[in-house]
Amino acid sequence: MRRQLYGASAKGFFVFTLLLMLFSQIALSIASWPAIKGQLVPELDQKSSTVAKSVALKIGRALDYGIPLDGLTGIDEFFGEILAQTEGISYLALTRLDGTVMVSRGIEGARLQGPLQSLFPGIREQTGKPMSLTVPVADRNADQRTYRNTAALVLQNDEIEAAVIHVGFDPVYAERKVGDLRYAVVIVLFASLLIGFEILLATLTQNFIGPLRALADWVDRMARGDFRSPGPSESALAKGIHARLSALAAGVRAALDGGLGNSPAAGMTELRASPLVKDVIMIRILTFLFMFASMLSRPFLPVYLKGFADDGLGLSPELAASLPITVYLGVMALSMPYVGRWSDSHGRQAGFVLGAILMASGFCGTALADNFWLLVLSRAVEGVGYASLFMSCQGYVVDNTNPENRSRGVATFVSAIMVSEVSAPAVGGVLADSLGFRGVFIVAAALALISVPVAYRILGAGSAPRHPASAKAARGQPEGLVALMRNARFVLIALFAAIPAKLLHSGFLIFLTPVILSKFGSSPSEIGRFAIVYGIVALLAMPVFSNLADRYRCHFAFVVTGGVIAGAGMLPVLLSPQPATVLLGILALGLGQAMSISPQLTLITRAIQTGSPDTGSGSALGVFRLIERVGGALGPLLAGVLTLKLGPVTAMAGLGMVMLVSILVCAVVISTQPREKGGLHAA
Amino acid sequence: MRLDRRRWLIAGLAGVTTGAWAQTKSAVAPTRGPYKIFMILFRGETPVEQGFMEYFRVRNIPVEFIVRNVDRDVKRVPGLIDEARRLRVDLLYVWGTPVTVAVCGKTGKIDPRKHVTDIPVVFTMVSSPEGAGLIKRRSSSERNITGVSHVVPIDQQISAIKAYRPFQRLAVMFNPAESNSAQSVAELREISLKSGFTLMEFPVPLDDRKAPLASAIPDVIDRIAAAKPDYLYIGADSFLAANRKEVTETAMARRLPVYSATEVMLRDGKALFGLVSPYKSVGQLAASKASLILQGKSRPQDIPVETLPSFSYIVNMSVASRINFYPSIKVANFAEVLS
Amino acid sequence: MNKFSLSLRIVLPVVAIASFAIVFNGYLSYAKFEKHLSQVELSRMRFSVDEMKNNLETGLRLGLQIRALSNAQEIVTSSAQKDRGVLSIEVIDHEGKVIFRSGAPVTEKTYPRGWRTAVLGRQKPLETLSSDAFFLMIPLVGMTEDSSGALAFRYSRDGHDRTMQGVLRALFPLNAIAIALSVVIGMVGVFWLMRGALRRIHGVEQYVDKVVAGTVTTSGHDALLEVDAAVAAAREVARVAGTPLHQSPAGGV
Repeated sequence: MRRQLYGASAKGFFVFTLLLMLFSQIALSIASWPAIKGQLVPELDQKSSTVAKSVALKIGRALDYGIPLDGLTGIDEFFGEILAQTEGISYLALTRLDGTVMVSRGIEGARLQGPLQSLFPGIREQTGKPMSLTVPVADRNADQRTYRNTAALVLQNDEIEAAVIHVGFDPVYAERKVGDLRYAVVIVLFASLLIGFEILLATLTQNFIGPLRALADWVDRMARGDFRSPGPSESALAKGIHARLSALAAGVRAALDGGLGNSPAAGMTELRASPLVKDVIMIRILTFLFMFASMLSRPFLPVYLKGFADDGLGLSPELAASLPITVYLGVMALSMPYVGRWSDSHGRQAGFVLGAILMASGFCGTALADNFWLLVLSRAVEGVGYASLFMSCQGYVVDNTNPENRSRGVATFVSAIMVSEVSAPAVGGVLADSLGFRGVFIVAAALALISVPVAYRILGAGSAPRHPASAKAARGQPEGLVALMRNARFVLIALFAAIPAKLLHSGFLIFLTPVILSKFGSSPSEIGRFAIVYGIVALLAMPVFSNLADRYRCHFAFVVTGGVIAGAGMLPVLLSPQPATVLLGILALGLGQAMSISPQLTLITRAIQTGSPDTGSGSALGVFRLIERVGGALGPLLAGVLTLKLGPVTAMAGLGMVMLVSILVCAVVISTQPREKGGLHAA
Repeated sequence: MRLDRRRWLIAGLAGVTTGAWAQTKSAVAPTRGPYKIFMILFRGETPVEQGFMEYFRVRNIPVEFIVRNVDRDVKRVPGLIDEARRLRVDLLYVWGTPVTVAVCGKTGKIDPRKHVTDIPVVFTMVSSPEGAGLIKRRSSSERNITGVSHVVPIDQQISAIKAYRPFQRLAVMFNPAESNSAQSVAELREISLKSGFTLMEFPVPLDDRKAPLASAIPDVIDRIAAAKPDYLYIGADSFLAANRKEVTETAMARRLPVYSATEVMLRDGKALFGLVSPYKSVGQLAASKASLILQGKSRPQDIPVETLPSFSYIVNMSVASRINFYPSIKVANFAEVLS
Repeated sequence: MNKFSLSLRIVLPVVAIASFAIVFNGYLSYAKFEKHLSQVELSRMRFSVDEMKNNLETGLRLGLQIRALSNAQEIVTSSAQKDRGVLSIEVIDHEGKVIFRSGAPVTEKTYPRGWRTAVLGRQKPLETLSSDAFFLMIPLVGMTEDSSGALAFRYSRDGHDRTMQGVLRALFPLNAIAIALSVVIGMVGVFWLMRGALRRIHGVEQYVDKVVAGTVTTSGHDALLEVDAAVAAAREVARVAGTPLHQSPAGGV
């Protein structure tokens, strides 16, 4: 019924919209290309002309000193240096006044000779005007390539013509450089599809799916014998069915009244409007907005921070780059309980708005900061803002779900986070290329502020916490900490599996990747492209692995294998320090973490249940999350210190070793422990 | 009575303290001019001194220069030191290794009675301050001296020669009685092994008193020409500098390309080319260090001994056309060309 | 009205995202191209500036101070005359004072931020494209600290702007068409899909009526089992309560 009612239609809307976006962007890119293609050529012509004139001048000067034309030496090296230092030029040649090639670099004189000579009269006539020169690619090949040749006369004593300099470039090659735009377009396409998906989901749910799903739920409830009526229908779409179902339900209630002589039905309170899934989906868009804003700067944040180290602080650049990140993560982790409590008492809307404003101010501070400590302060403010946003959104989900559908609600929340993790760094990288680092922070601040009116619309209703107790539990107060600390399995997994994983994540992915890649010469948009790989792999692989783990009950094996893969993937870069091995590391991290994140949670829950059954699972999980976050906060700092001592590439391998050793220790210790009933190995 | 004694005591103490304080102050140097600089030259005024004095003139720093020339006789130095002390000069300027060693003494063998330890000293034209035993490290002499080294590092010189045109065989002519020359030949030997070129050494024959024979010069050059080197290297050698005309003109007649490590053989001789520290610039750099000391901004031990930040590549184009050996296009463009 | 406004509520965000993505795409093409263009332009300028630097430093190497460079004015003037796009070339001493100049005078405000620290202080070159011109500044190395300086070169951005305008003129119609088409196709598509959605909803409504009236012929895959179950439950409850469920067409009991 659901399919009929809204499923098929919704799918249709999604597919249509996404296809529309896909085709329009692809078509646009394809059409744009010819439009821009030729525009770079005039500038390249001018450059060739400048180079040709300058070289001609230099040779003329040598001739003026009395060096005969045939006595000139070292021209080959001279041309070679110019070619190496100047981008875009394919060849340089010196010819006599009759066109015979004396020296050439970039293309062999023999191949240039013929074409140049035949073109020569034209060149002599209009020296300085670019002309097309077709040169065979190899001696016997029929292949040819066309260059634009600009010539300049070598003058002795400023008057006497002595020789000719030719500078040539390949327009196709030049254009290809501009067309390197391709990657950026794909990234933008991908990101825009994801963003479009989020927005569409929100809109459709609000206007279409929500009301219809409510109806379907009502029908299901009736099938189970619950004939209470939800409130009046808000949607025009649902009106018809709503009326029919109301009639049915009313009929049943009337029958009950009539038959039983009293009106138990009257005692049935109307089912309060189910806020359920509709609102939770709405929280998705809010979560998406603020997560997107906070992740925009990921590809280049450490590089940006390093720039502040020159300020003579006595801090090495590596520490300067890692400190603000650690401060951010640390402040965020530590403030979570407090802001959580605050949003419990003041309402989710207030919590969200506060968070958004704090985060926006933090971004502005980061963008405009002139000195290092102001920067650190801004990051701390951002951390508190993020914590408040996170806790408010999470709290809202918890408030508006009951234990049955909570995991579905949480999954929605988490998937919004993952989607922004995938799309934001890539877009941030592309923006950074054009707007500069500071510009991206301003954009992030703007996004954070935009979410405020959206929050007012969405969180307006139902933002007061309904289940303070469960909210508290979900927040995870560190009560029963002592009991937990005595739980060997809990401690082992937390310390030797979870923390290293977080260290690796924040230390490598967030901190080291931009640092190493920019050291290899990658631009922010290129770094963003790399960062996206992690998100995609994790997004795709996680459901697969968690299904497999559940089905074959091998959670522990997956946690260990995932840790080993992630750790080992950090090592190849030592052998071959180049972007490809960094990418390998990112892939391995994504894969390893996709494998281990979900099973890890299962293991922890089980460890809590068997080892310390008295501690509420909610608060125990909260403790676990806190421990994890501490690990995450320490990641950049550890990475920074390692970078300082060993250089970034070795630091990457170092983090990998930490992960490998810890996970193996964990594996060994746990497998030597006696099996308990319902213990980890039973799974 | 008791009051008087106390008063005298206080006055005495005050006097002693002030005197001691004034003494320390003068050891650092007064902070306003006009300053007195006492210059001890070896063989008369050179462009180095011109550059040195010009520095102060151009910047309107009031300096009184007291110039004395030992005329190659180092034994006159102690007398000049006495004179400098009597005149209460603010700074000593010394030219060349012999004079500097006489004035300052070698590290570890400093005698405060003979050598100057209380007046700041700036030296120039010392080929190798470390080799001469004046300092252990260039970053700080750890005493009251600093200065400018005019010798271009040997690896830069070899690069300069290669830039003219690549080479495989280098002949070096030198006066074996001069320690600088012997040292630069040793450096050449070392770098020839590293860079893979052949070094051929041609010391000038010495007479019974271990003095080089000027009359042997044409003969040596003939032998060099017969060995067919790519270049002939002339280092910072005073004997050869003194005989520059004969050396370079004979070499030119034999069509030998001559590289010179000093400016004088190029501007006042017929050497072909060289990478040199222009003397005037050496003087200016020395003056900038002296200026820091005079104005009390730094002490000599805090100012490192340096070479010039960049050197002049000089080519004698008339010689090049005479021997038909022209430089590469790069050199032709960035060198200072003398015609 | 409601069908229309509903469709509109869905169309608007859809079309808005599609348009935004198109605009961003276009912006990207524009920005990337501009970056490449600037790189080529600056490298060309750098070429000329480096030549001037070498000429000037030959004199500095002799120990001269910047203001003593006799050939500096000529170097600067002839370079400026060679290319009409040059706005100004200035030779600056170690304190930042302009000693030689060719072209229009430049107030210090138009120099990029931090030029003193970067160029005079840290001896690093500076290249920017500011709102009114290309600006290149490179250090000139002298023998002593106070005989060093810098060379400041300003080049008109007219050529650059003209090229970018050409690009914009080429891209704009394409983007506009893309947006227009997206809007039209989007609206048509959404309306059409909405019609299908409404049809399906209407189908469910009719099904409910039929089940309630008891006139449905359940034929396997057309059946909406949940509705069947609900109505069956309703009837069961009524039977247990002893009162039959009154049935009448939609709207009543």
